[in-house]
Amino acid sequence: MTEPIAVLAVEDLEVRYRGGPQAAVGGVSLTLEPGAGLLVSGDAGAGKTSLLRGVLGLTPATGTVRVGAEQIPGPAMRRCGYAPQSDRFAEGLSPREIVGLVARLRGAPAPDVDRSLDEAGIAEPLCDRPVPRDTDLPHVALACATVGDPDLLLLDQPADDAVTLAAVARARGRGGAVLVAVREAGPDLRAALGPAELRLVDGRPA
Amino acid sequence: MIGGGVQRLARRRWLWVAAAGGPLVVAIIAAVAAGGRAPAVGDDLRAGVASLLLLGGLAAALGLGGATLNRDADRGYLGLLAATGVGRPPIVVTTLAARLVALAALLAIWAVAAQVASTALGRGLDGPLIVHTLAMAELLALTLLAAAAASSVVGPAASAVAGAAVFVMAQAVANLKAAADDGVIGTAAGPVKALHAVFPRAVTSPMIADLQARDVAGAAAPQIEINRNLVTVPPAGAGTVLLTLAWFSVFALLAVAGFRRRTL
Repeated sequence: MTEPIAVLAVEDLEVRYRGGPQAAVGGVSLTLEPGAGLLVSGDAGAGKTSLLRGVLGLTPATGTVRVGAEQIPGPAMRRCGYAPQSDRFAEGLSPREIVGLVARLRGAPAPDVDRSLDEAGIAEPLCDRPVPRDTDLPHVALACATVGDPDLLLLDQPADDAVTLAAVARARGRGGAVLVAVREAGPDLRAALGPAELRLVDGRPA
Repeated sequence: MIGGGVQRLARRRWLWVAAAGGPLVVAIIAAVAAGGRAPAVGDDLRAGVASLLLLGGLAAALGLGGATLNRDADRGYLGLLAATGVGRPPIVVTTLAARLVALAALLAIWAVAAQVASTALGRGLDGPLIVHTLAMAELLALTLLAAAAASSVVGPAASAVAGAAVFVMAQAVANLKAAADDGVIGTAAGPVKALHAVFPRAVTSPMIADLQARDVAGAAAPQIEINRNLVTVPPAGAGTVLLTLAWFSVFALLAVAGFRRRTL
C-alpha cells in the first residue's frame, strides 16, 4: 500500500532578505499529512511570518516546497489559502469584492464567496462596504484564505476566537492541512491544531 | 485583476477631487477667457487647459505612479494575489494597466470639459486641443510608468521623484534638441543629439508649439531662452511619438524586474 502524498512538504527552507546580515529563517523542514495541523510559534521577529512567506514564495527563499506533488511557487499555489497578518490589504474593496477576487483567481465557484464570508462571521451589511483606510476588519483575511476550500491553509497571526477555530476544524475535517503562526497559542487553538508544534528562535527550529 | 485594481483606485478620494476639480478649473479658465478680447479667447482657453494638463496631469501621474507597487506590496494586497498562484509579471502588468486606465479616465474627463467650454465659447470642438491632450497623455503615461518602475524597489516619495526626473528629462531633451537645431548651444549639440536619439522625449503638440512661438502659452510652455537666444521648439514627429511609446515597454520591464524579488 502506498503512503498518502503529503499536503505540504518543505525541505531545508531558508529565507534571506536582501542586505540582511543573516537568514531570517533557516534549516526548516516539515511535512503535513492530510488532516494535519501545525502550530508555528515564537517571539516577535522569530521568523514566523517569514516562514509562511517563504513557503508561498512571497519572499526570496531557497530549499524546496511542495504542495501535493507540485512545487511552489507555481500553479499549486491555487490550492493554498493564505491569510496575511493584517487586513490592510483589503483597503478600498469591500469584503465581498476582495474575497470574490481571490475566489476568481483560485478558480473557486462563486457561491463559495458568500459561504466563506458567512463562515468568517462577516455580517451582511459589512460585506458590501469598502474597507476604510487603516482599518482592520477581523476575519476578512480568513475569508480570503478559506474561499474555495484549499488543501493547505496558512494563517498568520489569526484572531484566537471561535471563528478561527471553526475554520481550522473544517479544513482538517475535510482532509486539508493547516499551518498557523502565532506568538503564543491559547489552549483552544492548540487543541484545534493538534500536538504538532514548530517553535522558532532566531529563525531556526528550537 | 485590472478590474479589481481600477475598482480600488476608483475609491480614492483624491482621484474624485481631481476628476471634479478639473472641469471646475476649465470653467474658470473659460469664464476668464470669455471676458478677454475676442481674438485672444481661443488662445486663452488653450493656454489655460494646457496648463491644467501640465500641472494637474503631472500631479496625478506622479500620485498614481509613485504608489503603484510599493504601497500595495507593503499592505499585503499584492502578496494576497501572488499567493493565489498568479505570477509576478502579470501582477505588475495588470497593476500598471489599472493605473494607466485611471489616468486616462481623469484626462478624458478634463478633455471633455475643455471641449464643452470651447463649444460654449462659440468655437466648436477644438481639434488642436484634442491632439495636444493626446500628446500630454502620452508624456504623462510615460511619467507614471517611470514612477511605477521605481515603485518596485523604493517608496512612494522617491518613486514620484524618479517619475518627475524622467518628465523633466524628456522635456529637456526636446528643448535641447531644438536648441541644437537652432545652433545656439555650440559644441554641446553633438551629445544632445545623441541623447535625443535614445532618451524618451516630450511630445510637443502643434498647438503648444504655436502658442509658445507667439509667447501666449503661459505656464504651459514659457518661451525658452538659451545664451540669450530664443529657441523654437517644433511639433514632435512620428519618431518621437513612437520612441516614447517604446519607452513604455522599457519602464514596464524595469517594473517587472524590480518586482521579481520583492518581498510581498
